Amino acid sequence: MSDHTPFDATDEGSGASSPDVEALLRDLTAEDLALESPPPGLWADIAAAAGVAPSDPATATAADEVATPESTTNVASLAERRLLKATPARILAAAAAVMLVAMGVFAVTRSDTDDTPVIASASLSHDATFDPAGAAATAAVSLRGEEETLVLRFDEATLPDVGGEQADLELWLIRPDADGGVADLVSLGVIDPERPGAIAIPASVDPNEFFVVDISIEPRDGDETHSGRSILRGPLDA
Amino acid sequence: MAEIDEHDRIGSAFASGTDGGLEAAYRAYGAVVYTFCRRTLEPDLAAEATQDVFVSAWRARATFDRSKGTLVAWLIGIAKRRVIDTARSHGRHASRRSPEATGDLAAPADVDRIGDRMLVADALRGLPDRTRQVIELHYLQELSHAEVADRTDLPLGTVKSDIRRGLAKIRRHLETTHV
Repeated sequence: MSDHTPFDATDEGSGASSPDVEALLRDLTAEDLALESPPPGLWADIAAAAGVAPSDPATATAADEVATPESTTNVASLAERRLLKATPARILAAAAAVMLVAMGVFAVTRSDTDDTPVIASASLSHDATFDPAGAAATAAVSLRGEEETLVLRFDEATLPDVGGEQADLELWLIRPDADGGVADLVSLGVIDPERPGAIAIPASVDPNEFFVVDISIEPRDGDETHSGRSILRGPLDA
Repeated sequence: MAEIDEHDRIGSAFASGTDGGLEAAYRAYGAVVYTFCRRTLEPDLAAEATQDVFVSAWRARATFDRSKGTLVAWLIGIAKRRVIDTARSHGRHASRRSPEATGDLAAPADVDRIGDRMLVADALRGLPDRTRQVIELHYLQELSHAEVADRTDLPLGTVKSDIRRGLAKIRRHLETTHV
């Protein structure tokens, strides 16, 4: 079975100089996928220079909210900006071609009251480009200071059981770069989908920098690098 | 985020000079144009370039022919030239001060390619979820068609036709023969 799309040269009417879209797709970087909001007030400058009056003050403000995916505010926060679309395979080791069947799902909610102060929290969500085994997964984590250690605690989690495929769920903290890609990441270890609990963060890791939480499926293959098969991700927010 | 078909409506409102046409275009494409400018220019210059792109596009809207391509591709085409001009004049100015301060002179071919990639990324965002996922898995994550079919639980034929349709939509998004 050929791996090549049986593409003929007939485009939908593009001229001779039409760009090679497949080559462009293959060259796409995480930076290309990231969108940055223009500075607020730019619309007002444009409207003034173009001699266009905004129809009403509400519209003038609304125009500053230019379309950026997952963002409805003027300030495109680092975490919102396309990190969900960052392609793990480009940034990390290539994914092993393992077919994974998620056999079960565990839902966990903490029932005990815990008044350790919450420093930050994150809702982790599944993205369409992630591993499909995580399609039904969700998690909510909070960053808490417990005595002299920082911990990441799972307040709620619905996680797939991947043990049947000789794999584990692993928890990571990602430091994003200025364009929403992965600048660096650190593993916080394997988590139990039934009882993810609370994981201590090493003192050398600053959660102000490594603030994107990621959960991935890691085959037990001796390869310690991120597999590229994320199931959930989300930024810590104070 | 605007679906691919929504782009027609925005282009039409822009071309006909409808009230709110410029604003709608800015809301839909301001971030793409600004982000493209930022790839080569510092924030202040990028904001200025973005403003110039939209203002000059609006003034020249009579020359925008919707049958020849999309508004966003036309805007990025204007932006490409603007970025090259800015980088060139800025670099020329800087090099008078010192040989080291040449700044980030982007070669026209590089600027061109960056612009095309940003249009592709913009087109991707507007695709239906399944089509986008299949295209990302195949081209960005470099999975074969068979691997994509395994990963997404779709029949191989569906994967191939999704890719074919998605590529056609992306091509249309990039289309411009205005240059």
